Amino acid sequence: MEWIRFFLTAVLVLAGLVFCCIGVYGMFKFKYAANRMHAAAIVDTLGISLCMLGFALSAPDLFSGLKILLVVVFWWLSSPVASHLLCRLEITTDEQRDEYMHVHMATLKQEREAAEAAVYAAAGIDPSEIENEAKGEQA
Amino acid sequence: MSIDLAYKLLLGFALGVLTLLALACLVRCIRGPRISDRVLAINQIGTLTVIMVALTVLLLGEGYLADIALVYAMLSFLAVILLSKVYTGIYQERKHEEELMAEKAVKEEGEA
Repeated sequence: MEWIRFFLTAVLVLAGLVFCCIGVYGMFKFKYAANRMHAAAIVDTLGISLCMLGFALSAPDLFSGLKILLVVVFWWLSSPVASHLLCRLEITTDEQRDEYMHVHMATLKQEREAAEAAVYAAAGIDPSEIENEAKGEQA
Repeated sequence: MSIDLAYKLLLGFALGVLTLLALACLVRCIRGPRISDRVLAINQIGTLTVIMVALTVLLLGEGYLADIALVYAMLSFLAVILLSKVYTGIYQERKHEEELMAEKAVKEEGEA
């Protein structure tokens, strides 16, 4: 009975380790942060759950096993939130993201126009005036 | 082979692999070109550390270490949330300052 439990634990923990290795390898293979988040999610879901299931199977007592499973439940709830915020950070700070990411053209145009309009509005200048001046200079 | 030795071998091997993975994440954290890469690597190190702390429950046979794993999971989550929020804020602040500078330049040009 003890050996059966040991082998179940060993299989689960080793499978979890394999998934952890795949996730960390993916973090080096991919080139951009958004792609890397895709690989990192493997460790956050399958890697941690398989390892913890293995540990909980042969925990010293029932309650510590349940607590270990509680860690997995908490991690499954918190990891999507963290990923969402991280993705928002990446999208906010990367201005050249349309080079590697599919960004809807209308969204991009709208964003850039809004940024330009904010600058002009803050300076109290009508953008059409500047365009007219430029045309006049050319003429 | 006794069962204790078998457990020790398995858990020691797992601990070694997890340590190597955490070191690899540290390399990614140092090399990562963008700030989001670094925060992502920190998140990953947190996940691996939680697994390691849960592993020590078996290795030392102490139940209270499971509580420590739970607390560490919460701390790691909080760290990632805070870091991403703070860096988004810093970026927006810097951009706002740049906009103010551009506005000043436009005004001076207009006066000249």
